[in-house]
Parts: sequence; C-alpha cells; structure tokens
Amino acid sequence: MDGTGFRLKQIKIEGFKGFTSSRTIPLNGKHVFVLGPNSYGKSSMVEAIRWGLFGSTRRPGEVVANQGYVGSCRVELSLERENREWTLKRTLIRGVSGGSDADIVDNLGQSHLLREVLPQLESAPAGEGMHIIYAAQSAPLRRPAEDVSPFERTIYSYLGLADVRIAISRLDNFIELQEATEKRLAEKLDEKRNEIDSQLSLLTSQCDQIIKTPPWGTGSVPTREDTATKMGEFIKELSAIVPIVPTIAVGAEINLLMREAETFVVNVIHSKRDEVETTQRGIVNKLGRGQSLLRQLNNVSGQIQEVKNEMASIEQELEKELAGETLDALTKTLEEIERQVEEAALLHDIRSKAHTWLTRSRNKSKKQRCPLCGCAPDSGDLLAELANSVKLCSSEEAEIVAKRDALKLRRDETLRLTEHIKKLQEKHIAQQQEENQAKEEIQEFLGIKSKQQDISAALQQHIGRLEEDSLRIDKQLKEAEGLHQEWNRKLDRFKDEVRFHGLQEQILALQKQQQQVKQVEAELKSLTLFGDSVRVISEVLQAALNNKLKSELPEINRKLTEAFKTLTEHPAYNIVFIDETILPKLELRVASDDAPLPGWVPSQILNGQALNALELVPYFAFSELTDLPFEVYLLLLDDPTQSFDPHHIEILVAKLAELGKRVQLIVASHETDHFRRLLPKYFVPDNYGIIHATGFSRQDGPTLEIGSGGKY
Amino acid sequence: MVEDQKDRTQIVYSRVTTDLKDQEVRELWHRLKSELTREGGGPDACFTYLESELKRMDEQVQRALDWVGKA
Repeated sequence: MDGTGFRLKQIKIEGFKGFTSSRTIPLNGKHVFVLGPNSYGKSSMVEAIRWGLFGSTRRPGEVVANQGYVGSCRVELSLERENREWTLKRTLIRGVSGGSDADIVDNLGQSHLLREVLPQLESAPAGEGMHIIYAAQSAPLRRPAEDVSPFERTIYSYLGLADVRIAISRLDNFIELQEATEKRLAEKLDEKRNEIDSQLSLLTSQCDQIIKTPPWGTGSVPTREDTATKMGEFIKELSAIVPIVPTIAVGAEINLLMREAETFVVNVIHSKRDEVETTQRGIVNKLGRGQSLLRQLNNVSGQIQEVKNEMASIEQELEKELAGETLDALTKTLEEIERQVEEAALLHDIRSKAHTWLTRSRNKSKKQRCPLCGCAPDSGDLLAELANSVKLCSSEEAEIVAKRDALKLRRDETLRLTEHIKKLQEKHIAQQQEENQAKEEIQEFLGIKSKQQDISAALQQHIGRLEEDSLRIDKQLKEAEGLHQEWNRKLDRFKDEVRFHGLQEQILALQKQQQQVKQVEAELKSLTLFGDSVRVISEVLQAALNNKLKSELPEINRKLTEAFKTLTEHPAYNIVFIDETILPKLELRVASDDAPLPGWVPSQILNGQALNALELVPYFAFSELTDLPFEVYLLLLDDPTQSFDPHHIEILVAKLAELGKRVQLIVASHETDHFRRLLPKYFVPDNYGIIHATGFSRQDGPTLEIGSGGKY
Repeated sequence: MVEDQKDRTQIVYSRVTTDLKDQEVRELWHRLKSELTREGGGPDACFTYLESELKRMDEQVQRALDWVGKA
C-alpha cells in the first residue's frame, strides 16, 4: 500500500441514519468488509463515511439524522498520513437546510481548513453510486467542470489530459458568459440607437412641419442672428408703446430675446387693456348711476302727476256734492233742520199726551175744561181735533227727518272728500320733497348748480354722452384686441422660428450622438472579436484534444475491454470502447467480435450484473497505473455484487484483492457466505477485517460484530 | 508515467499553437497558454483571465454607451 496518502483508521458515528447512539468502529487503515443481510445497517455505515468526507447526501433532500435520536448527528473520521493522525469531524446543522459543519484537526490538536488539507474532497463529486475514488493530490481537478462525468474525469486524469478537458469546459463557460455580455450590450446599444433614431425622426418631422408654413414668410430660412435681429426690432417697437425699458440687449441669445418679447407683449397688452378697461368701468358706472337717477326722477314725477290727477277728480266730485254751497252753509242748514226736527218731535209729544189725557178724562166726565184756558169745548170735537193734530204733526215730522237725513248724507260725503283731498295734498307734498331730493342728486351728479335748468333733460343729455363714450371705448378695446392679436401672432411666429432653431440644434446633437454610437459599435466589435477568438481557440483546442484522444483511445479501449472481460466473462459482448463520434465527451459502448461497430449503449443491452461490473471497469483498468500520491485513496463500495452470480463474485473479490494492493477498500455486501469463503483465499489476513451486521432494531440501531474475519 | 501525462498536455497545446493562423488569435492563445501552464495556473486561472478581460471590455463599452449624448 502507498503510505503517502491519508488512510481511514477509525470511524465514530452518532445519530446518523440507522445509528441511534454513538458508535466507534476501528478500521486501522485496513480493508474492511461489512457483511450481513440487507436492512441491517451496512449502507448506513458506508453512507456515514461518505457523508463525513463530503457532507452531501446521495439524493437531494435526503434526511441523514436518525429521527429517534435526540443528540447531534455527527460523524468523526480518523485519518492517518505519514504516522500523523488527523480527525475530520462533521456535524449536521439542525434545521431544514441539511447543511453541516466540518472541522479537521491535526495530531497536535490544531484546527485546519478542510479545503487546505483535503482540497480534492471539497469539490469531488459524491453522486449516487456504489463506488467513489478520490483523485491524486496534484491532479488539477480542484474545480471540476459541471459537464465532465466521473467516468470522463477518471479517463482524462489517467491520460494527463484533464487540464485540457477542463480548459475546454472553462472556455465554453466563458463563451456563454461572453455571449450573454455581448447580447446584453448589443441590446443596450440597440436601445440607444433606436432612441436616437426615434428622436431624430420626430424632430425632423417637427422641422418639416414648420417649414411647410414657414413662420419667417416666403424668404430663405433665417439664421439665428436674423431671428435675433427681428425680435430685437419687435421689442423696440413695443417699448415705444409703454414706458418699459428692455432688459435684454439687441443681439442677445434668441431664447432670452424670446422671453423678453413675451414679457413685453404681455406687459404692453395688460397695460393698455387695464387703462381702457378702467375708463370703461368708470363710464359704465356713471351710466348706470345716471340711468338710475333718471328712473328715480321719472318715477317720482309720474307719481306726482297721478296724485294731482286724483286730487282734481276728487275736487270735481266735492264741487258737485256741494252744488255751489260751502261746507259751512251746509252745516248750518243741517243744524237748523235738526232744531226743527226736535221741535216737531216735541209738538208731537205734547199733542199725543194731550190726546191721551183727554181720552182718559172723557171716560170720567163728559164735560171737561181746558186746563189752560178753562173753556169747556165738546170733548168729542176736541178729541177729534187732537187726533187730527197728532196725525198732522207726525207727517210733518217725518218729512223734516227725511230732509235732515238726506242733508246729513251730503255733509258726510263732503267731509270724506275733503279729508281725502287733504291726504292727497300731504302725499303730494312728500312727493315733491322726494322729487326735489332726486333733482338735487342729479344736479350733484351732473355737477350743475342752476335749479332753473331742466334737470331731466340735462340728465338725459348726459346719459346720451356717456353712452357715446361707452361705444367709443368698446371700439377702442376691439381695435386694441386686434392689435394684441397681431402681436401675439407675431410672437407665435417668433416662437416657431426659435423652436425651429432649437430643433435644428437638437438634430445636430443627435447626429453627433449617431457618430458616438458608431464608436461604441467599434468598441463592441472588439469585444465580439475577442469572443470569436476564444471560440476559435476552443474549437482548435477541442480538435487538438480529439486528435490526441483518438491516438490514445485504442490503448484505453484495450484496457477497458480487458477489465470488463475479466469481471464479467460476458458470452456475447466482449468489447468495450469509447464512442469517438462524440469526443471530447467520453461514453462507453459495448460490442462483440462478430458485430464490432457501431456498438451499443450499455444500459440498453447489458443485464444488471454486467452493468454493475462496467461501473467498476475504469477503476480496475487504471487504478494501478498511476504513481501519484493520493490524499485519500479509498474505494467505497456499497453492495457491488448486486445481480452477480457466485462465479462473478469470486472474480470481483479477486480483482478487489489486486486493487487492494494500492487502495483502501471498504465494501458492504449481503453475500456474507461468498465473501467469508473468498476473502481468506485472496486477501492476506492481516490486511483486512470483517464487520458482521448481525441484527438491527429501531431503538438500538445495527448490531455489529467486529473482527471476526481479520485481525485488528 | 507522470512525464507522459505532462507531455500529452503539452503536445495538445503545441498543436493548437501550430494550428492557429490568425495573428490576433495566436496572441490571445499565447496569453491563455501561459495562464494554463504557469505554476499555480490552470483552466481556472485561464477562465479568470478571460473573465477579467471581458469585464474590462464590458466596462469600456458601458462607459462609451454612457458617454453617448453626454459629451
């Protein structure tokens, strides 16, 4: 055995897969065969060594911690090199990540980085499979290419062409990176170019639009200086209208002049408009006031006239009622008649009482003397005369009362009319006062003092003049508006001219950018050429490698065929070779003497035993052919004899014995009887040990009996 | 055996040197070859060199792109 590399001396497993407690298994750098029925924990032990070295599981997401064990899940590997013992400890980080912490310490207890001590381990693949071989320490596969299979690595390492193969892989990686960069930059450049083209197209279209109806008229396209001169003149023209001094000198930059012209136009327009509008507002106010006063005066005058008319009508009525008399005469006549009514009533009362008395007296005595004169007329005649007198008296009284009532009615009506006239007179006086007040206001409004003047006419004349003024101001405003519009049109034309110059400038700038883009294109071109050069180098390197491979393959194929034949003794397929059509990719094909080409893909025609044997072929073929020292040269096999018959199991054990001269073997197999029979035949007893897996329980894990075959 | 392996790589690299005709590509290959064969070098060093060159050119193009319209 080679003594310069690491060898496995002992393994300590705790809480890993089937191991429910801490177990220490001594190996002493010898070959170890773990034998026993399936499901007795053999694979757990092989996996523990693999996980301890690599920290990765065979399958993504595979759970390595024993689910019933409360302690840590850890594996501790004791390694020996040049009589110095190193300890590699790996502990699972609890959680969903499945990650682990690894630490390696030397015999002095000093901790080291794993990648420094075992650089190969960190990056070597640990995929699913039943065998693992670790490459030599000085081999270049520190960072294996993703597209190089373990089989290819073995072959390329053997040929010493791994560097070349990895270089091609790296060049391909770079070309991918280069293409992505190229694409990204090209897209950005396109984006920039399109942006410039699009802007240029838009600006050119806007320029064309201006040129269609040129704001400068029919002449040739003005220069910026021409435009500046015209604008300066315009500002000068405006500054003559309002007392504003231009702030920008003639010949200044056109955008500044444009702003100045705009300010001027706005100021001039506002200034003029404000002045005229103020005047107009004054006229309108006066007009409103004058019209209001006129309405007020007319209203009062109208009311006065109405009262006058009413008074005249009432006076006529009164005159008619009095019929030429006065109210006093009528009152006196009424008083006289009232007195007559009283007299008639008294006379009537006396005669009635006399008649009553005579009637009662006559009933007492037929003869009665007059109480006044003492005469004694005939009472019958007297009574008749009294009765006649009462009747006559009543008639007269009624006549007088009727006369009195009629007269009273006339007098009351006369009084009412008189009162009405009085009220109308009072109203008339109030109206006259109001009229006078209105007139005074009008006088004040008109600014006249003479009261003789016809105020109403004067006011109407004044209103007429105000209306004329208003019309004149309206006309002035309209004229000013026209002028303002003309200025604004001129300003718009200047704006278009300035915009035209601006567009021209932008177009020039964009054309300059187009030139800059061409420079970027040149830069990008050199980047692309660089990528092309790498592509050419990659292709030529690949061609040179393929060429070299083709010269080496016959010998390689011979060794592979020899190993395959020894392992399988296959009756039909006795040729193994690498397919030359897909170089530098290396894939095995199998063939037979009677049908050598083009060969078959092994998985399509070989049985399980032959396929398993084929997996081992490269290691059996090339393992003894290198003199390089190894860090850990370990062949770890989990049940390599699946589907093997006893004869082929013996062939395998014989080959393992050959291989065991150079590498440490750790082999798990359920073929206990065959191995126990064959191991003493092919292996020196001191160089191997047997671990028997004799039982398994969920609580206690595997039951292992150590050393029943070899001597530890 | 060791010498044989080293020789094979050299043979392949020499073949590349012979087969490349374009001067510019040859110059790049010489640079890559020196990265591949120098002490401590190899494919990763070669890739690192290419990557840094690409980064440099990428930045150069980016700068040129950024410069467009700003000058």
